[in-house]
Amino acid sequence: MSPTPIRNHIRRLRDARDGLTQEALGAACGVTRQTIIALEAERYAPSLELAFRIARALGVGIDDVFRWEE
Amino acid sequence: MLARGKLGGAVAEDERDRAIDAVGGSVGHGAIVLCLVGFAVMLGLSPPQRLTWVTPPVVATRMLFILLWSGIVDYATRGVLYWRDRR
Repeated sequence: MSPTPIRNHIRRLRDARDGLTQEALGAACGVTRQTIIALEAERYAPSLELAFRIARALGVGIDDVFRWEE
Repeated sequence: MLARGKLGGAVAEDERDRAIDAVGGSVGHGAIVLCLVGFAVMLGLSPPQRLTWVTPPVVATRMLFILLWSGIVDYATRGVLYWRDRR
């Protein structure tokens, strides 16, 4: 997938939660570890549902995880 | 539902996989259309004396080759997209 204008702080927020692994976050959100890798590399824009699931899994609001950057 | 086909607790396929499948399928479909249009144009615009090799078995073989080629393009596209995500 091509780079996306949707930026995120998933890696930083994940590290702040006692080193939550990509595998664990993926399992919590119902996606593969590779999808989490692609998200953190900002090569994939999540669906709205996935964005909300990630925010809930990280315990923060969706605006704290994702931002739009042209 | 985000994920489908959980194997032993692990997620086998999710929305990103389906998105990549969709792109691969779209590119493969485009390859079929491009090849068929090119083949039809070639047949239509060539003078008859240059089309003596175009027999029904040859046309059938070309069609099968186009199908195979579109499948190769489809899977190659998926491979490239997965490779790019892991870089």
